[in-house]
Amino acid sequence: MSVSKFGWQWLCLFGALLTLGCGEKDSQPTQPIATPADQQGTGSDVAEDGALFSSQEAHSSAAGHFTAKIVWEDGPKVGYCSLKVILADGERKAPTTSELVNFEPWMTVHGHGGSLRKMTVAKVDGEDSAYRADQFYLTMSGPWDLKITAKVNGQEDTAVIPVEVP
Amino acid sequence: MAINIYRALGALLVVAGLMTADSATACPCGCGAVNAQVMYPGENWRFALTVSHDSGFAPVSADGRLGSESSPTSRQTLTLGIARSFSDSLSATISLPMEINHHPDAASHGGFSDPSLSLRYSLLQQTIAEPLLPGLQLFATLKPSLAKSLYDQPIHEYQMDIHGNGLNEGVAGLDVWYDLSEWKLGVQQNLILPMTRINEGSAGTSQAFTPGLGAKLAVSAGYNWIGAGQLLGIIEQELRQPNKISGKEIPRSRVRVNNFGVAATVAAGPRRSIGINLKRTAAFGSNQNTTRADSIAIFYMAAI
Repeated sequence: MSVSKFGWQWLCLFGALLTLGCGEKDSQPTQPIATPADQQGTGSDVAEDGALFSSQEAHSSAAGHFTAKIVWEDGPKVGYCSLKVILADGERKAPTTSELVNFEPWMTVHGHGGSLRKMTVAKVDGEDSAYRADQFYLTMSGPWDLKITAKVNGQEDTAVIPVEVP
Repeated sequence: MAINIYRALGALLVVAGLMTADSATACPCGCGAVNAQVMYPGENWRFALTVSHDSGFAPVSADGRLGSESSPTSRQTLTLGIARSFSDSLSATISLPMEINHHPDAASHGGFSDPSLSLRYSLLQQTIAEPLLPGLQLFATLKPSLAKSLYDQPIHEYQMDIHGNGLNEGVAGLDVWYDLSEWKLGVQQNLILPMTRINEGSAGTSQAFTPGLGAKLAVSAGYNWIGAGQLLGIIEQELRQPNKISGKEIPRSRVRVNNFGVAATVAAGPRRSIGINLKRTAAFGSNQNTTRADSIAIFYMAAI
């Protein structure tokens, strides 16, 4: 069966109309959702210009006082997860002082968190501004926000990193 | 197995249940509240007992993808309640579900789920003399959040001690039905009214979380073997507007749930019946931000 020239045009128009009619009507989040591939980085953690990580890997805090990179060691998944948080100043350079004040996974879309009963947060040996959050439990698949509160160079601030749990 | 006792309803409970074996906690992040039992003229009390088994829990994301099976992996629910009519037009129902959660890697945990109080008022009664005149009833339900939910820390890893959805809910609705001798047709429209709850984060921060306004439409149709029993098919769709945090909409949090169920009832004596309900939540079409679950329920009802 051959499709005439005008038949193809109607087909294309119909397909375009179908595409316009579908899809989520809600506003989309403007921040890209971090995937494990993004967060692992490629090769060394030291990026150009003496920064601790590349701008692609960096997540800025709300007031810009620090940037953070997360490296998944186990996850993201439904179940026990583990990751490393690397803190830097607002320009991704090694901070003079740093402290991870709080780490909390939160499912904003539903308004609840995960299970933190067995979670430990500790400084990583041999790495100046790296902390490991271990054994936090993500209770279901879907979009989560990792809320990281840190004090970097004397300034406390919070970064929210979205992550999709498969 | 730990059982929590509620002071408010202990004296009122005898034996009762739900007209439809809705599993109110099948979706841990919030579902519509249950409805009042339908009472017929001449009935003073209605009691029922429902035992249901829910399984196959799997979250459905905002873009309709089915996620990993969530915890618990199965649940049994015993629902007790009692309905009392105050007149031929007005009745009230109290319902109390109790459930046991199961997971292969954790000890089972039992507890009371959220109770509910419902009122039903008949605007029109169906009569044999006017078969084309439908039955028309208004109903309203209040479900307080009493049982532990995912919003209450500490959360057990497998959520075994979660027996409530964490939300105070109000439901108002309209029931229209036709009993045209052997054939039955019904339409129910609910409005699910959101109530804000304050969620506490681990760092002492709190946020006001408000579920979106919801609407649920249920259409049922079936056949009635007069004096013997009936078979009903039910299709439901529930829609909810986006949730809000401190008044600000959360992106991608609209809810859409399409449910399908079948209910069979058999007469077990004068004003007594037994039956079975099969239901799948998020059964067909496009679903968003919900949980798929399969439910089988057996119920016994008696009216005096």
